[in-house]
Amino acid sequence: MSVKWILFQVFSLLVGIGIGAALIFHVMFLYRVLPHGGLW
Amino acid sequence: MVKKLLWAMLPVGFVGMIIGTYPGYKAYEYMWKDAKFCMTCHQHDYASLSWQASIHGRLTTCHDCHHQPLKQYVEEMFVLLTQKDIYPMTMKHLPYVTKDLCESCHVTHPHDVSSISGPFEGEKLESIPKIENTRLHALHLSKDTTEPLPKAFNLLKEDVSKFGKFQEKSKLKPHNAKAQERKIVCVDCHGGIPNRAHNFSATDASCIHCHEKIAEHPTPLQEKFGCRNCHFTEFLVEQPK
Repeated sequence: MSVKWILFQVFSLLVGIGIGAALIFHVMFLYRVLPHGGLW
Repeated sequence: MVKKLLWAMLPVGFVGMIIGTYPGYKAYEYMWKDAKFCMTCHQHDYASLSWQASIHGRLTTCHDCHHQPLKQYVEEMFVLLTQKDIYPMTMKHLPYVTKDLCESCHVTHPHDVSSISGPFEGEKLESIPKIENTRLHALHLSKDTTEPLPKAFNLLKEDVSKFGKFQEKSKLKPHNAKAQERKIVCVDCHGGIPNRAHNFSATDASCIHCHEKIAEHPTPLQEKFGCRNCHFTEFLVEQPK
């Protein structure tokens, strides 16, 4: 396993964390906003 | 090559996504349930202080009551970045608060409690005294009215001066409002023009808004003491079942 490969995997992990965090944040936000405030 | 790299990212990326749900949820909690988040931009001292000092300040957060359409959040961000907001000159509308909202906590069988996400939620809501158990609240909630909801008056224009003051019926109604009969709701008395900035106490102006005959010819006693000095107990004391 090269350093490059490890760095690539760390980068993948960070990207995953970013996507997971953004996904759950927006899902919860829309879950709260849409039923009461609506879209427009 | 790119395909190969993406496949190589997938297992660790998936683990990362699962780990990411925790900070994501915490960020949502801070944004939705912590009033400090809202107050970083909404610098309305009178409203913030009155909310903090009130019973609602310890039991609710901004989003429990203030709901707005998704479009409004986008608009707010745009305004924040591009304009200097000067209250109240740049205020275009009243805050979004639905007329049935109070029910969520203060009535035994509310239509909906799903918006309540503050520190006070779930089973705890049941321990709040329910207003339909007091005689005058129950009486008012069972009656119909043709009066417009307080939000029909434009707070930012001259309509404010008409609320709670006796005058001809036609002048009291906002323009184009058709007098349709509807049930009296909480905001008729607790959300009127005198109830600015998280002060939800009913005022004599709220009573007079409907009981206008008394306002026209008040007795000396009524003139001196107003409505609530005598009638408030029947709004507060629960009736034995």
